[in-house]
Amino acid sequence: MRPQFLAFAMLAASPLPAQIAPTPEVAAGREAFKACLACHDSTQAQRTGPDLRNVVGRVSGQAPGFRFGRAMKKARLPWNEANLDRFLADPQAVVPGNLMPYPGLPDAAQRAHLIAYLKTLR
Amino acid sequence: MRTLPECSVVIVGGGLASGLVARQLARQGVQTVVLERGGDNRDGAAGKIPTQRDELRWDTRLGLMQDAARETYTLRRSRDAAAQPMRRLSAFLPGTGVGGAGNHWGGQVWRWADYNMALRTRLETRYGRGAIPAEMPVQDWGVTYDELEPYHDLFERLFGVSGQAGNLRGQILAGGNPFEAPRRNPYPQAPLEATEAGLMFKETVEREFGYKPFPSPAANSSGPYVNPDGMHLGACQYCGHCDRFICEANAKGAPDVLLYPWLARQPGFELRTHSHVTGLDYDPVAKRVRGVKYLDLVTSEEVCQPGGAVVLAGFTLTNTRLLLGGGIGRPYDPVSGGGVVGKNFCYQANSGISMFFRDRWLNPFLAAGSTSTIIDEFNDDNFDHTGLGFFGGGYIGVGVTSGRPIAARRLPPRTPRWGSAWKQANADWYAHSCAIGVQGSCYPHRENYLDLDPDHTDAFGQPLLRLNFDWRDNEAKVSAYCTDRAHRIARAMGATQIGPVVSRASPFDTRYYQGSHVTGGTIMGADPATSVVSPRLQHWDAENLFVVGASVFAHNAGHNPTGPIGALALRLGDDLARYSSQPGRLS
Ligand SMILES: Cc1cc2nc3c(=O)[nH]c(=O)nc-3n(C[C@H](O)[C@H](O)[C@H](O)COP(=O)(O)OP(=O)(O)OC[C@H]3O[C@@H](n4cnc5c(N)ncnc54)[C@H](O)[C@@H]3O)c2cc1C
Repeated sequence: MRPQFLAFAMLAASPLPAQIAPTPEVAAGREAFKACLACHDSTQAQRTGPDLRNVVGRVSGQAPGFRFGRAMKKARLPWNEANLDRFLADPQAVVPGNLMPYPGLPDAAQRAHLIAYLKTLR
Repeated sequence: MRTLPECSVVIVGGGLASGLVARQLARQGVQTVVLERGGDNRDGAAGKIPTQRDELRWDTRLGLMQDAARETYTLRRSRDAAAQPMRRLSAFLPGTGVGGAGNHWGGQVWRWADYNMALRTRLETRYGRGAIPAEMPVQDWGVTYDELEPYHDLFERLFGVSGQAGNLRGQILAGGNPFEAPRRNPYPQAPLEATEAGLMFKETVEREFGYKPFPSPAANSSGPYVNPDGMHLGACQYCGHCDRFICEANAKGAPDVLLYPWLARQPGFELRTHSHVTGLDYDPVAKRVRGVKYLDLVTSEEVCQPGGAVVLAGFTLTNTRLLLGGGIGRPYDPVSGGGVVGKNFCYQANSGISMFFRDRWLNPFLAAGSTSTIIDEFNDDNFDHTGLGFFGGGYIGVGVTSGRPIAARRLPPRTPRWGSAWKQANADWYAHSCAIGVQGSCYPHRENYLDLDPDHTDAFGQPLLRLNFDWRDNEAKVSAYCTDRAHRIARAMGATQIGPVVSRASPFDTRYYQGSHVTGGTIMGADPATSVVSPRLQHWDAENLFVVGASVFAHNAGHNPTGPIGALALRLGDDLARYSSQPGRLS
């Protein structure tokens, strides 16, 4: 593999800019994000789930180019920290009928880490 | 017919075995073309909520399976009967589309007991030279479990298998299958959650019989997982739409999640969908296959793809049909017992008994394809067959794999078939019933074989494959024996009611699903007189032709087939990489 490809591959594997060392919170959040990786990719446009770059600050059901289900589109939930925390704890309770096959993350500290990590996805 | 430029390796079929062969080739930079008759279903309705949950479409109407109006099979149970085409495929369900049946499989990933690969030797050593009946042509496969072990290990890591090791490098571990062949590594992931019915089964067989129950090894991902190629699986949600469905949570170890998206990024790999293979261009003098002929189903054009090496990976029935149609190898002759192509066609003698527990909540809707709790005490040759009058056996277990609204209507005997009483019984028993099942082995019989049907053709005018098959005396005895053991367990579990106890016996009835594990037809072995392919899966009569899949199994065990298929396919990939740089007979 040529060097510039290698560099690209490394970047692709880690969405964090290489020069900024992640805080322990963000590093733990990246660990927790492994449960999401089968569907969400922070580097590639659209997979089974929407692209999560810039998700924090967005309104639910709005990722460009992704076809959301009706429930998520209708919810129009601002993805701020508080809403993300509630949603990640029990997705079906907060947006009933949403299509994400994930039961939720019960541990509040892990949710905080995950949100800290999501904030780095730009 | 348009002839394309030659490529290094052409693979017929774009399913599970094909993807594994192609993965090994891609890692070694060997140019590979895969020809798949179906399309890619992953991003369509089958892989997305809410359409993913459409039981009518995918299960009842078999939306992901081979279209019987285009190609089906005929059956006759004896040579003097007329063969009839199956208008609807029900007994077994060949898959179609990228990933093949591996996309909508249940995910039980077994390593068969190690003696299976040398079954004739095993039975003769244990029961004497004359013990095997003349009409049962069991034979050694020419490969040993030890040779396949590293590939089993790789397959399990690639597919993120969840399970509990029973035999770690010879050490028997509690909670696993003590009859398992020795493994170098534990399963890559912890077992799935047990179902309530599974816990009841486990508790009963331990207490009452001293058996050693264990969770089925599962390609349903018990947690988030990253495989050695960096491909991801999500955690299984136990949604009950697994077996016969594509997993929308990317939580099932499947070729369309783990293999083909990775292959698509490899230079030198090409997948051609909607490419229906119709034949092989065989040169009997040079004993080589020049290329693969296919119909481009989009343009209706006939195309020939020449290849340095050709691999048949189109599932048991297509593999056999292409060899018979191409006149490659001697067709099997049941009268003389000579010839090989079509020989040793086997199925599985599966049976089940319904159980009803008034006071237990079994919640069948919470399930994955492999949420089964199983014992192996009565499988294959794990028990002494002296004086029993049969060989083989089966696993016995409680598998709760779905509680879907159309099919999950297990009702006690004597329930009316319609009306208010029927509705009431549904309400009463839906959450309180399950089945104890047997997956019974099927050893070859001289009269069970595959050939081409002289009368019936498919939509393209090619002869259909004819199944000459019935349950023979051996399967009837295996099934009666194992079903009786299952019945004893059902009684010990304290069921309020138990359904009819019916074991498998002639006549073979194609209207009921009995598992998709059809094997044989292009069997492997060390002797060209009794096998189609060598222990390296190389055709004896065409040096550059290879066959992979359950069609190379010389018999069928009481376990699902895909573990050994995966191991054989990965090994073949490595062998083919060798062959591409140095063609010749592989040893
Ligand atoms: C509902 C169901 C549940 C199952 N559950 C289990 C289980 O729990 N455990 C287990 O071990 N096994 C299970 N199986 C069996 C398992 O799916 C198969 O053993 C496995 O997929 C076989 O791999 P293969 O590559 O040989 O065939 P496949 O994966 O089916 O691939 C064959 C491919 O070849 C293509 N093809 C066929 N003919 C042609 C042609 N003429 N031209 C071009 N392409 C062609 C097909 O379209 C298909 O894509 C299950 C099967 C089914 C149907």
